[in-house]
Amino acid sequence: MSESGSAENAPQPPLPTSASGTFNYLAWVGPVLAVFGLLSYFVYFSMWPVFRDFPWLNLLILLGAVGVSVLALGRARSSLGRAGSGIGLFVSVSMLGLLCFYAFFLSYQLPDAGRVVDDGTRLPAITLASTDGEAIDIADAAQDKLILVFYRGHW
Amino acid sequence: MSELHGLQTKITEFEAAGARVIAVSPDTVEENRGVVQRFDLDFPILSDENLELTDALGLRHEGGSPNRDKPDVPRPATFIIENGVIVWRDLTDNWRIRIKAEDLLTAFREQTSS
Repeated sequence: MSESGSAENAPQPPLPTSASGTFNYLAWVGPVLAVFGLLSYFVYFSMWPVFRDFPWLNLLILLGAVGVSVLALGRARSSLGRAGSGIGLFVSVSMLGLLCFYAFFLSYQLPDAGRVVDDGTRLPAITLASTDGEAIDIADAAQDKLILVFYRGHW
Repeated sequence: MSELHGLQTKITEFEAAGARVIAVSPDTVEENRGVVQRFDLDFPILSDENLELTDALGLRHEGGSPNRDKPDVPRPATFIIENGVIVWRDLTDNWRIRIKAEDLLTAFREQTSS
């Protein structure tokens, strides 16, 4: 990846660099892609098990963002360009780190499963308000063949 | 909530298999109605705001929510129930990952009498 030694002989990059005083687009593409790579998991891709259970697509986007940020840093010529690209790289790596922390550590934090009632437990007579506008007694509902799904709420 | 969306995509198959589907959340009825509308759900969501049913089944996850006013939530869990009794349960070890609708449908067909 690193080609700082041969940078002088490399073909001219197609995108403008900060060397000529023009805008180094790559320095912005990396962190913007990284923010998209993190947020899109929560907003969209976590809806679909194929993208959710192992977040491979979001990890790929974030790795791409880090790669672009490294490239931008390599192309930076001025000290200002290097500082900006450095911040961009920091943002990209941070977003990747946040997704990894969330997916591979935080989401495993659950209480001991031993606290949960076992198979064979009878459902209690507890009445809860339904979105139907009626109140449903769980013990009554359990007389049907029932799938009962608990989730953590919307937030 | 991705499991609700997944359940809805297979809701006709669940109904054909004889399943009644009910979801439970710690949110208010109004909030749950928002979710029903957003995902266009054909099954209801019950509001367990006081975590009464959650506690009865041992599902409380203390501090499981970033919401400081209501830090406790149920852990994600799915139960199959017949004749008033739990016959099968899925407790994920990662709250990001819930059982897939097709796997739940298979479990339902295997676990309940036809």
